[in-house]
Amino acid sequence: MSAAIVLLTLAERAAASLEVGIWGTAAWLAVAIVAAIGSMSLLGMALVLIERKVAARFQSRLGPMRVGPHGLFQTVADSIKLLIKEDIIPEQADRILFFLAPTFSLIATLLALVIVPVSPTLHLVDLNIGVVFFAAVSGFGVLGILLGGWSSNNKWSLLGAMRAGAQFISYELSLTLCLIVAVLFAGSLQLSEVVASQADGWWIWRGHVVTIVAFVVFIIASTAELNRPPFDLPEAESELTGGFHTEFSGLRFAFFFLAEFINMFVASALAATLFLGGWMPFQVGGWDTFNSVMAIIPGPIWFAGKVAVIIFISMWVRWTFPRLRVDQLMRLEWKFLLPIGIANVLIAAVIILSGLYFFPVGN
Amino acid sequence: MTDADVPSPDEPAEPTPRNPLIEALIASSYGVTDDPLSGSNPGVRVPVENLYDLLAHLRSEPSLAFNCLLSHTAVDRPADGTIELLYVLQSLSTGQRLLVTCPVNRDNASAPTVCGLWPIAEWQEREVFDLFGVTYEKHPDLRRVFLDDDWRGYPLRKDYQDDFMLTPDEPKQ
Amino acid sequence: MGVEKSADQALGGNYLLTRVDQVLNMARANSLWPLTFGTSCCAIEMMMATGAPRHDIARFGAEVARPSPRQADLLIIAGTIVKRMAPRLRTLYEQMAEPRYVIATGACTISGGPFIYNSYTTLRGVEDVLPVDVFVPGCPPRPEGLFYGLLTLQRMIKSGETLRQPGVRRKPVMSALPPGISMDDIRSEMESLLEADSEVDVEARRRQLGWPSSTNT
Repeated sequence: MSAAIVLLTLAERAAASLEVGIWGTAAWLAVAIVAAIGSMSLLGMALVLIERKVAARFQSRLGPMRVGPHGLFQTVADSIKLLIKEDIIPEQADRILFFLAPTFSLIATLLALVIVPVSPTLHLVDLNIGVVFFAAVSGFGVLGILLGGWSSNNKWSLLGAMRAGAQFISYELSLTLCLIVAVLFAGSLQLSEVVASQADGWWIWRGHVVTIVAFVVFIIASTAELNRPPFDLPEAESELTGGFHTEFSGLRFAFFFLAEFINMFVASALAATLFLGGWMPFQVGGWDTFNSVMAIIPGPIWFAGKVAVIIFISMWVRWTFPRLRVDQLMRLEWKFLLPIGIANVLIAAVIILSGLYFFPVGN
Repeated sequence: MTDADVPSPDEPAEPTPRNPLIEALIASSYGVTDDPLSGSNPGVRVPVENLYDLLAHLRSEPSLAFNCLLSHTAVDRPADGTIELLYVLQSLSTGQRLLVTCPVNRDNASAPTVCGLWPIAEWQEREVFDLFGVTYEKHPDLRRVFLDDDWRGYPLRKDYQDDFMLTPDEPKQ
Repeated sequence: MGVEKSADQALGGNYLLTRVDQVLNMARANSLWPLTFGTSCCAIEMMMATGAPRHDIARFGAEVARPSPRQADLLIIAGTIVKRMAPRLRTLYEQMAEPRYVIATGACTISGGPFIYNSYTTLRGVEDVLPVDVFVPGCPPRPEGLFYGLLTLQRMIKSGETLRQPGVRRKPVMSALPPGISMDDIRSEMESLLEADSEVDVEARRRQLGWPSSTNT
C-alpha cells in the first residue's frame, strides 16, 4: 500500500516536472528506482566499512587493511562472498515466510529511504505526510524480524524475535513522541517544510531545551529500534546465538545486515532533518560574512556532515556501553523515556500555544 | 600439619601440636582420626558408618558452621583396596576450611548421600559416581553427569582400560 | 613452482573462466568469517590473537566472528576435543554453509597433544571427525603462527579453488619448504645421499657379521 503511494507520488511529480507524458514518466520512475536501490547498496557497503574501521580505532586496532588501500574494498569482498554462499533452508521452516522475512526488512528500509531530504532538489518523494509515513514504515520493519524468528522453526530464534518485537514496539512510542515535538515546532508534517522552517536556526537550539531532550530521546529510541548495542539483546551473540537471523545464510543474511545499516542511516538522517536543520547551513543571526561563507557550502555537504556526526555518535555509543538486559531495556522505555517524552510534548505544546519563546518561531 | 613422620592414621600419639578444631573432633564420638595427607589445610579421616553424622554435626554446630561444600571428589587407592572420598568444607562465617576423607571399600563402593545437607552435593556425587563408580544411598538422581549414559566402566579408577586408550611403550634398553 | 599446480594450471580453462574464478576466490579469501568456537587454552590464545589490538585479524578481513554457523565460513578449531564434544563439533561443521574451511590450531587438534597417552576420552587429532584444510602446530601456537595458517588458507583459496571443482582444495605444500631452499637443492642432496649409499663393501660387511646361532640358549 505504501509502495503504491510512493509510486503514485513519484509518477505525479515526474509527470508534473517533465511534462513528457507516460514514457517520460516511466523513464524517470526507472531512474529514480535505480538511484534509490543503488544508493542504498553503496551506502550500506560504505557504512559497514566505516563501522568496522571506527570500531577498530575505538579498540586501538587497525581494522581491515588488505583489500584495497587501507581496506576500502573490504565490503565489496564481503558482498561477493555472501552472494555466492550456499543458501540453507531448514527442513521444517516455513518456506514462504523464510523468503519473505529479509525481503520485508529491506522493503521497509527502502521505503523509509525515499523521503529523506538531502537537498532542496535531491528529494525523491516529498510527501505532505512525510513524518507520519516514516513512523508507519518503520513499524513495517519489525514484521521482517518477527517473521524471521517464526519461520526459522528454531525456538531460540523465536525467543529473539519476540524480544525484538517487544523492544521495537515499545521504543516506537518514544520515537513518535520526539517526532511530534519537532512537528509541533515546525508546523508541518512535510519534511521539506520542516527543513525550510529551520532557515533562521536549527530547532535544537531554537527549541528551548525541549528539542534537546527530544533529540537525545530520539537517538536513544532509534538505537533501540535498530537493535544496535547497547540494545541488541535480540541478536545477542552470547545468549541467543544469533537471535532472529540465526538460520539465514548468504544473501538472506546480507539483506538483514544491510537493512540494519541503512536503517541506521535513515534514523540519523531523520534526526538531522528534524532537529539539526537538514541541509540548512549553520548561520548566526547578525554575522553576515560568516553567514555568507556558510551558505557557500552546498546543502548536501551540510546534510552529509550532520548525518556523519550522528552516525559516529551512534557507533561511539555502541562500542562504549555494555548490553542492557531485556528487563532493563523495557524498564528504561516504560518508566523513563515514555514519561519524559509525554512531558516533553506537553511542554512544547504549552510553549508554542502561549508564545513563551525567545526566538521567533514560524506559524 | 604437614608432618610426614606420622606412620599411619591410626597412630594416636603425635609429638607436634594439632589444630584445636581437629582436637575437638577427635575427642568427639565419631571415630575421627587425623589425616596425614591433608597438606596445609586441617584434615580428618572418618569411617564410612559415621560419615553422615559427622558431616551433619559439622554443618549444624553453630561454632563450626561449615555451610559450604566447596568440593567433593575421590581418590582411588587400589593398594589399600579402598576409594577415599574427600569432602572439602568451608565455613563462610568463621573462614575455616576442613578436609574430610572417608575410605570406602573398592568393590561395592557405597556411601550415604549428603544432598540433604548441601544441595550442591547432588551433582558432585553424580560426578564421583560417573568416574569412580561409588553409589550413594538415597541419592535423588544418581546417573552419569560427564560421560555419555551408555559408557561402560569407571575411567578414573586406576585399573580402567579400554580399546581407545593408548599406553606408552616401555622404555627400551 | 615445479611440483604443485594451481587450479589454473591443473584444469586450464579460458580467460573468462579463470578471471571469474580469481574474483570469486579473492572475495572468499579476504572475507573469511570465523565461527566463535573454542574449547580450551588454544581458544584463549586465538581470542587474543584475533581480537586483541596487537595481533589483529581484522586486518585480513576476518574479524566479523559470527556466532551462528550458518553465517560463518571458517571454523578455527582451538582447544582439546574430547569424545563428548566430537558429535557436537561435527554438527556445527555440517551446519555451516558451503564453502566452509577448517583451520586446526594447536597440538591437541593435530594429534591429541599432551593428552595422547592414558586418556580415555581425548581424541587423537580432529581429522577423525571432520576434514581439515590447514594445521597450525604449537601448544599453543603463537599469534604469528595462527596468522601464517590463515594466510596459507587464503593462498590455498586464491590459487587452488575453482568453480568447476567445488569442494576440492589444492594445498600449497611447496610453501612448507624452509626459506632459501628449493626443490632442486633437495633433489640434488637426495641424489648424493643415494649415491653414497649405493656402494657396499661386501667383504667388510661379511667380516662384521657374527656367526649365527641356531638355538635360543
